Amino acid sequence: MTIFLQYAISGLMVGAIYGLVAVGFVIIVKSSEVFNFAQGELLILGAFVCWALIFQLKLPPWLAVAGTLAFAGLFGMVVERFPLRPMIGQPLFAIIMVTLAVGICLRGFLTAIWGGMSWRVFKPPLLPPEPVRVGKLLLPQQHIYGFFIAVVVVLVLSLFFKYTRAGLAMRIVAEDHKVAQAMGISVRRVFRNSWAMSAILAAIGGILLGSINGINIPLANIGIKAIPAALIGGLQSIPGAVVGGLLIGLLEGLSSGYIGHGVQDVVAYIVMIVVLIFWPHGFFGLETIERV
Amino acid sequence: MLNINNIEVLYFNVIQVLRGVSLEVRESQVVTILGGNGAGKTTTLKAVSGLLRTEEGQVSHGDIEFDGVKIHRKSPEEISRMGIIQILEGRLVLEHLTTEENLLGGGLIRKDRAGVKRDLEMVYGYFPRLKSLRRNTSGYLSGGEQQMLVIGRALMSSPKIMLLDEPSMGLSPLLVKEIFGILGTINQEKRLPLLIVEQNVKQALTLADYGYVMENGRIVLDGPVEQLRENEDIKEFYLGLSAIGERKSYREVKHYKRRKRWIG
Ligand SMILES: Nc1ncnc2c1ncn2[C@@H]1O[C@H](COP(=O)(O)OP(=O)(O)O)[C@@H](O)[C@H]1O
Ligand SMILES: [Mg+2]
Repeated sequence: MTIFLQYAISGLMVGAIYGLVAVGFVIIVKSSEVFNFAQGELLILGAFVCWALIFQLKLPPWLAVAGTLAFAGLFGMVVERFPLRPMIGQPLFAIIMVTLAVGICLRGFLTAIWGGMSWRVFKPPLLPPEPVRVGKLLLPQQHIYGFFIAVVVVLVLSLFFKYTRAGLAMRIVAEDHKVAQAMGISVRRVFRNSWAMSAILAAIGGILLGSINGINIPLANIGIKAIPAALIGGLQSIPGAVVGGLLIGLLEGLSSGYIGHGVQDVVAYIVMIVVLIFWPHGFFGLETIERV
Repeated sequence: MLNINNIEVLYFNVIQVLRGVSLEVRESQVVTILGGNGAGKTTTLKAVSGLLRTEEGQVSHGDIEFDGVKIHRKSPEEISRMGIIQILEGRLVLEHLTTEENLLGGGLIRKDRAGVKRDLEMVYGYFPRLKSLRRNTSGYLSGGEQQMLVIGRALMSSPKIMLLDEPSMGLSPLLVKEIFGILGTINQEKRLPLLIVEQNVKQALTLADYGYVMENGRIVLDGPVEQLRENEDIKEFYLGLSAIGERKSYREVKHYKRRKRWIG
């Protein structure tokens, strides 16, 4: 039992970070229906930039993190403004291909700047590394911090969407572009904000995962797990994305514990296939309301 | 205050939909545009609100003035900020949002938050039913409630003029009467001009001060409503009244003749 809990809990903790990144993916889907296939690369971009600010530019960690998030936000806006905005009105498929291309380019540039397979490690780590003992369990402290940071960020976001004017504008655009426009809401500004937010969430995920495990280019593949997490959650739902992330994390933790490494990277996709076959709208998919 | 001066509208640069439409709405007036399907009524409203652009349409000739400012090249955002608010046809509530969130959304273009709060109470005053439904998901409201909601949402933007596209569509006669009654009250109390596109000619002519009849992208008839109500063509085609029963058998012929008279 202890060993089961050990695997399950550390899986859930990493899962919260997947959930966080998945929320970023969902925010873009909701505002513009675009699947951002560069989400994984946005994640390693944040991780590398933060690492470089601390260990190459020698900035204090808090400043480096703040700088990274600001940079990520700006970068998200640039991606929205430069390759994507001129494509508004074109087939969704073309736009999604462009995000894929952005991701591949970004991966290339990052490889050129910070190196291919070599790991960049946060040393000293950003979060305290010593495991703590909770009852019989031995939990890595970094994961606990990561979990709580992810949870707090998602809570703050939910409050933002519920109680701020900018949040309401984003929800209105998510409902209906035409109506939003008739109400005088700038759909473009909402697109821009959602890309900024999504990139910031990816960067937070990148910093957390990077400081826990170290950074290399394939870390982007973990960022891409945001997509199955979002799909499991129903694609349109922020709580759904969190649940999707947690579920994937949990199953990864269990499978790598009981079956062994290697399985864990396919678990997300197996779960996604199963969920989509049996619950095509995911667990929290928005139903279109049809009154009779 | 709103002047449409001889506009032509093209979709996709080639499909001509409006062929020289002129129309005027004066201070605190209710003006209605009547006409059958495909006449170009919705297009006229969208030309004013700027939403035409989002559908690859453009005003290719003529101009539209609001309080002396030319607006036909402005974006829908700019136009709505000038106080011109269009209520799209089909009761488009933001269905997963609550009633109150829909209303607050209407206030997003405003800077004066105190005014938004005040106007929320004003809207609940006009539509008490919305107040009791304030926390309900708007997608589940009834058709009449949804129509009230989109009118209320437009009021929350503190409009200088409201453009309504077929507010009666799909509603029971009783509800239509109720909603038109409230629109009349709003017009009177707030001195708010309304431009209403309608197929429910009877209600429209009861509420409005002045009316236009559109056909095939043109205005074929216009006048004060008292005059339109007495017009034989309107009586026959829209109000479904004909002077003598037997004439009905010659309906097709008469339609043709009358139509020609309008255009000529
Ligand atoms: N987005 C569009 N693209 C091309 N043609 C359109 C578009 N919208 C309307 N039309 C055409 O313009 C004409 C007038 O339409 P509309 O203004 O909607 O009429 P009404 O509101 O009077 O029923 C119709 O023939 C319609 O097919
Ligand atoms: Mg129409």
